Amino acid sequence: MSNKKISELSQILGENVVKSTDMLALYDASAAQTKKISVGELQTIVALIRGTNYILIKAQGTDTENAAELQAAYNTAKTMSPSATNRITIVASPGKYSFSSDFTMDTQYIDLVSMDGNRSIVFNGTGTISITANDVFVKGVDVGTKSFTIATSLGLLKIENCKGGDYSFGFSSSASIVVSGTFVNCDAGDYSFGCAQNAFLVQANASGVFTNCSAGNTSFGANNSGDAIASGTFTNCSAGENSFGVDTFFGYGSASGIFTNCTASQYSFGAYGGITLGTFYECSGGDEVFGTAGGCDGVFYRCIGGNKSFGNNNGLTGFLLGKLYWCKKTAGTFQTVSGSGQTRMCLDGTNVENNQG
Amino acid sequence: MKQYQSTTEGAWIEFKIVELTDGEKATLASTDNEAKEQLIQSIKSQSKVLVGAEKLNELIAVYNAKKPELKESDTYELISANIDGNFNGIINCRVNNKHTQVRF
Repeated sequence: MSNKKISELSQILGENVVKSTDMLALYDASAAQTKKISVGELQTIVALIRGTNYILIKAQGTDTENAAELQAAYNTAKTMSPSATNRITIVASPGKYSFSSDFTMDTQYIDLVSMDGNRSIVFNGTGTISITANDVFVKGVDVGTKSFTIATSLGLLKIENCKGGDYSFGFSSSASIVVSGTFVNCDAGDYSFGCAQNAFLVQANASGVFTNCSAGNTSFGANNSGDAIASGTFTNCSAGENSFGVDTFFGYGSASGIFTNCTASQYSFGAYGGITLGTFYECSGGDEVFGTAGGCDGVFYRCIGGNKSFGNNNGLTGFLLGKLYWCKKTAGTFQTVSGSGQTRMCLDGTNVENNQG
Repeated sequence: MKQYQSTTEGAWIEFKIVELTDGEKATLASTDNEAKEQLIQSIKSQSKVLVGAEKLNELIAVYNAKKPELKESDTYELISANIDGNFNGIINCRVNNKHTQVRF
């Protein structure tokens, strides 16, 4: 008989082979026992291109077959003794992966990256990705409008160049959610990056590192009935309204982190009676931002807010306790400072310079 | 998981989840603003409580171990510290007026 590939087993064994049930006997020398494996399983294993620390997903099949290949690779990776010093990376070729149920990454030190670095691992089935393990790196996954799901308090999680729909990158409707990982070039819809909704008095805390990330409304430490804390590092991030440390019900929002070149729509950055405590560089928002109706504390450099911003009342109560340098209001006047509050070289809505404290 | 916060050195609060009765939920959804405001104030007072002595000592110990090391001439201002029940968390502070973060 000429040499044949294992992947051609079914040809050798004839047309009647049933890949899912017909078994091959394999002798396990280390255990001195015979084990069985189905033809189909053997072909799947052989199909995996793998090295000591990686498995390559070829994604040459249908969308469903690609998903099965990715799942098989993940299962195999778990058997490769992943550890902090032995990370296993699954490199997935560009393609569509149709999962009927969620693809769950529940094991630390197994990473998933796209071959080209782009968002080319496209989940187009009904299942999405769900990350529950802490020390995991994921790059290049696009789940479309589905939720890109992560568990709470994954401080070692790193996600890069990924996309999800609403309720992505840290959402909870039943318990506190702490988003403490690192996120780079990630985009999401509403209620994302540390958002709790309809879970009374639980906490939403965005304490991680967020760089070049965007979301819709009610994101980055947002809640509709409990503490909302934006305590992390936010650089070049953008969101819709009610974002960056905002609780719309109790006013329990606080923005205590470092914000650089971040933008949001109205009612953001510790609005609704919340408080800003952190440091803000060149950030901007719509009306009623930066501690409106609560406390505008912290330090602001070259930030822009709309009417009723920077703790200003214009009908709402609020305190300007922080230090504002070269800041601008697009409408309205500045609140009178309280305590150690200061404004320096700021411009109000009519371009009148404001220096207080 | 329990959540704790400090914005003042040595003082910690615990975030408590307040269980509401159906009647209280109805009040919150109602248009009776006076009753609603009373209830909200009641919930607020129950939802953030000072940490008891034993836990307070644990939190202060963790905080002191994690906060930045300071030279004698350094100025230090705590912005906020958030720690969970597993003693993971983040400290936002200003050292010599520079915003500094410590994650653990």
